[in-house]
Amino acid sequence: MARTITILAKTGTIAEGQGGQAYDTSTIGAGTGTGLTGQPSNRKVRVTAFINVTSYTASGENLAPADLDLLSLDFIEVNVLSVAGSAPTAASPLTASWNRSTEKIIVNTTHGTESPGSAATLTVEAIGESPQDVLAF
Amino acid sequence: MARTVLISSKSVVISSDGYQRDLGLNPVQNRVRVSGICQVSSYTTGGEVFSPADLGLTSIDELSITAQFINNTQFPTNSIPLYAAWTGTSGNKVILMKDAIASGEATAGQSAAFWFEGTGPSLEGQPTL
Repeated sequence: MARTITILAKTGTIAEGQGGQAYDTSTIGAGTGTGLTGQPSNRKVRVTAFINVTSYTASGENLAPADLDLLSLDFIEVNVLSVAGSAPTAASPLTASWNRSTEKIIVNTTHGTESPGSAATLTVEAIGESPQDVLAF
Repeated sequence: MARTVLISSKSVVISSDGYQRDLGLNPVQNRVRVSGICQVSSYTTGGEVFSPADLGLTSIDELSITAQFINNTQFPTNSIPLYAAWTGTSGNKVILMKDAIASGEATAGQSAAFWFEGTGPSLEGQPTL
């Protein structure tokens, strides 16, 4: 494992009608889209990051919320830009997954095929709870 | 079908120059960004309904979804990546696959979950700070 994580942007999320507050995970009725009942939180942020992996580890490369300066994740999306210097092609579409259980990023060149030892570049978009109060930024 | 939508943040989209347009290019000031998790207790073959109203939106400008797990314990692995796709306005459904290439759709009745992040006009009209 050898990876470098660069946080490119970290922005606060400003909740509607709440004076800058956002919410912890809360249950709303399916189909309603209203009725937030969770505890208010002033720590929700959106993080965009770039990950440079110099030697990909088979079965996944570690990526914990703390690597993105987050305490927990509300949402995450990982995209792979290149593996072994090659961008996605029709013959070798590149896919990236994040395993919540193991907190690892998995990079596949095709279905079920990895390239351990190869360099890889990825981008991450995540929303979650920051250690810091957004209103104090 | 049995799903629970967990919205963990709903924020106002603030444009730098006031430029917000609907799909008809009319000026609007009602855009919000919503993110969270949808938990499915019993997956429906062909896709789980996930409509704009589930996100508190009247329509969807942009939606990103990521499969979290299928059948409670099946998280994405190197040999079995998970895949999620939204059908858009054609049915408003999220399809969860255990394998994007080998047609391994989640089995009917299985539990599943996916993350979402979407932007669109709020059901509640123009948001206020």
